[in-house]
Amino acid sequence: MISDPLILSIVLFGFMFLLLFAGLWIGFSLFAAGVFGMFIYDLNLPPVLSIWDKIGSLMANSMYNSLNSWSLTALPLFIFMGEILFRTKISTKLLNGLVPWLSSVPGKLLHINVVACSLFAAVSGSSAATTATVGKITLEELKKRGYDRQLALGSLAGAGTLGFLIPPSLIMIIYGILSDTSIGKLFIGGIIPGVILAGMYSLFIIVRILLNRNLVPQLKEKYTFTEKIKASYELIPVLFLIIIVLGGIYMGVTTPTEAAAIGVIGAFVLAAVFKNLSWENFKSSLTNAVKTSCMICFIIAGAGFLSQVVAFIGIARALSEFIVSLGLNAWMLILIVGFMYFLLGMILDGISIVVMTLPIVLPIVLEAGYHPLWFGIFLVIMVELSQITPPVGFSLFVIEGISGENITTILKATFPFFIIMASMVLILLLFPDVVFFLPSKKTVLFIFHCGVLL
Amino acid sequence: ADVKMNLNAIYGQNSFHTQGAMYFADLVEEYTDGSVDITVHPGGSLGFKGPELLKAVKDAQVPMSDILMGVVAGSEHVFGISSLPRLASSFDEAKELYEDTKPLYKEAAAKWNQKFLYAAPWPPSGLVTKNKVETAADIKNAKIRTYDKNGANFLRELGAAGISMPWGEVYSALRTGLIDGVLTSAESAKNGKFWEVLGHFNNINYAFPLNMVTINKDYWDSLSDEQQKAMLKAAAETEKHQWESSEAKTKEALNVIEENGIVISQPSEKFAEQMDAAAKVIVNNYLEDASSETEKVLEKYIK
Amino acid sequence: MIGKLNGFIRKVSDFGAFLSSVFMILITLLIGLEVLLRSVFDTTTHISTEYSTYFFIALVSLGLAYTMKENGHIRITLLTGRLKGKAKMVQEILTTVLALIISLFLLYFSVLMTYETYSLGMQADTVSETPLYISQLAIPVGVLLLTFQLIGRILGIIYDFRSTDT
Ligand code: NA
Ligand code: NA
Repeated sequence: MISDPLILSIVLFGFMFLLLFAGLWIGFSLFAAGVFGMFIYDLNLPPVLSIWDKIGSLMANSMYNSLNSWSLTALPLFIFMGEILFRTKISTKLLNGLVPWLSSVPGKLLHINVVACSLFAAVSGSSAATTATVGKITLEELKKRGYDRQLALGSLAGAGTLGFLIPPSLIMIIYGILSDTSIGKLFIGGIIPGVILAGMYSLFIIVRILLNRNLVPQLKEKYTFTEKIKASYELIPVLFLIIIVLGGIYMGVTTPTEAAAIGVIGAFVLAAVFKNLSWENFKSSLTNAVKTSCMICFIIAGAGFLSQVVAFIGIARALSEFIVSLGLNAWMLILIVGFMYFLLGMILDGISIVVMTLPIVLPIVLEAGYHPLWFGIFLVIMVELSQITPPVGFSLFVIEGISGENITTILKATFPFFIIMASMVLILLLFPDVVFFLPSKKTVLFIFHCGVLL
Repeated sequence: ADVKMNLNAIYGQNSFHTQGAMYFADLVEEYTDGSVDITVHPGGSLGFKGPELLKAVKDAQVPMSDILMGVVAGSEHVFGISSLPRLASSFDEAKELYEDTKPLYKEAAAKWNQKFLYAAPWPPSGLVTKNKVETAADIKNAKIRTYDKNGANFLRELGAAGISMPWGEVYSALRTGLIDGVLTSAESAKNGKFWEVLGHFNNINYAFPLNMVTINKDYWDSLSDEQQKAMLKAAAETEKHQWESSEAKTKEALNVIEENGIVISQPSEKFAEQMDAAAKVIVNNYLEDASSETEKVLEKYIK
Repeated sequence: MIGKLNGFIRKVSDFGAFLSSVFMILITLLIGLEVLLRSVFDTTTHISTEYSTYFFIALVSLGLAYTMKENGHIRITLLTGRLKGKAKMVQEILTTVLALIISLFLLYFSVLMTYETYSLGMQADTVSETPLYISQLAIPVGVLLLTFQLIGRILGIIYDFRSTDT
């Protein structure tokens, strides 16, 4: 029995990494680590209670509670939608339509992940869903056309996390409620950082291409304006889908979660119109969507249980209290807090991190002079980082699920984009106005509230 | 012996009931000279959601919890009383109703292998809407978010559509016009900054829903007599403190939302009658499955 | 014999995936219906949020075994990917047995949870007043299928190793 939370956490995570590297499935590793954590923790049970019963009933309950989530329900639907689009050549049409327009930009279609994720982020509240849908449409097409695999995978991992930064955003809603910050202002505050981040991804792709021309297929074609317009007809199906999904949300017809179902129905309508959804395709899109969803959700259930154990043991609390006890200045404080979120983000999911640490971290950060709106955006970016850090990074899992590449390849591809995201944190620190600029504009707020913007 | 216990709290750090639980934990520490150490876990970070809490405390998955009574009414009927519409029209009446029903709550908690410690009310729910509401006609077919089945049925009786939706989606749904209003307290309207999206608060005193804090019986029995006495003393004081601060909070919240531009109104006589008629349907429906003790207690409060 | 048993287990897992697919379709239809009713007819199903979440629990639980069968659950192969022959087999069996133990543990307690929820008569606090055990039922069933699939996997590893050995 260990009672010091810091030593406990080291032992616990040591055990978890052991299982992970021994090749136990990630979901099972998380469950096992949770059980182990309960055992080494000094539980103080009254003599009549059995520790096995306590752990077992917590585990079953936590499996049920993790899955009993309305916002998570949208995830398989978005994955399903991506599978349908992928199999009905609508994805090919999208790329065909964009080729002429992007042909003069260095990197050409490699920018598609950034563009499509930014658009799609405005539909979905989660990064996993954004990554899944866009990745299913783009990855195979890019491969077929001979684009560099590494850049395709990495830009998807990076841009997919925009799902949390560009509104609507699950994390912002949770943060807003917990911290008593206006959700509307958070939503708007995320827009400029989101656009900067997307811009940096594209810039990185351009730089890579300028340094090595072989990363894109060498089809040096010139398109006339009429050709561009003609090719754009190919974009109509996808635009139709974006309009019904986005329009549904911003016209007040659906909630963001419901929009996923409308997207699936819309994808079916398109498939019917273009008559290219065979029974076989339909079946395989369903079973593939089931497979990817189950893989991710089993890990989410495991992470849910581990988070519960971590909360019982008080690890997040102990870490936060330890930081407070250091009595740091504002700069050092935010750097250490950022580092703590980076560490927690390796193994926990974003929502758990926010809920568990905020009660202690927020007062300290505000005390040090940071604005709650600014800290909210900072936190969202830290959560986004956690999506692509191993061993528990949901965007990584999604990409593994849809691309079939192994996790090591994906990690290598993601690394530069991880660095870009980390430098976004620095930009936030040096230029806090990127957060405050839009929310301070009355007209923007007004337009946003009318639901016209985006 | 020294005892360490976790107390689960569903709501955030700054919310009224979590603050109450922390107040309680501090008093317990003081009165037991630190021999009982209660850690409050806010924001549902222990992974519980609500409906399962009566069972979770029963099985000692968590030793203590703050529980919204209405949400476990599906497990134990009597806990549905405080979320019935329009039984009490003021804090004094709500307190009276609570004192009358307290023995029933204690008995029910004991049945679920736990000891009832204290309960305190949410600030009463009102009708927060875009447009002014003078009679039921003003909310005809309006889409209004509610938090439980009573609310949905009550609104249906009034001619509106009660929409169930997670709290996290409410703000954007209001902004996009997906829903037209919310049945909630001034306190929640304040915390959600609803003046950004809504204009009117009708103070209908829909209900004074209670939250209770209970402790698993096995944990309770493992405490010494002195520790138990100290816990009960702390519970009684917390209860008093929470009832007073709920009333104060309501006034303060009403002031804040008014300052931010929400127009506050009291229900007209006609609307009050319409609501009482609607409430009666819900209450009668509830009484069909209620014990004779419950029925006897409620008789006094049915209008 | 082992081959036959394994074949049967694989069929059961496939059937679980079929049910998962049905729930995926049901979620889509239910939410679609809700949106239609609300936007066109100013009314609501009252159960769309609640039941699509229940369907989602079923979708995930019942598909776990199939995902295992199809090697869809992911693991870190950074170190273990280098193993070959007998070492590889031992590693495969050990991790699968560990997963099986966790799965059995989860199976026992999810059956217990569902049974107790049923016998205590717990209901959701929603208009539908759905008994909560109904929403939990898919978990023990799905974990049972997963347990079978893990057993099948162990049998398969032994069978393969024997047949490649001779
Ligand atoms: Na988003
Ligand atoms: Na991570």
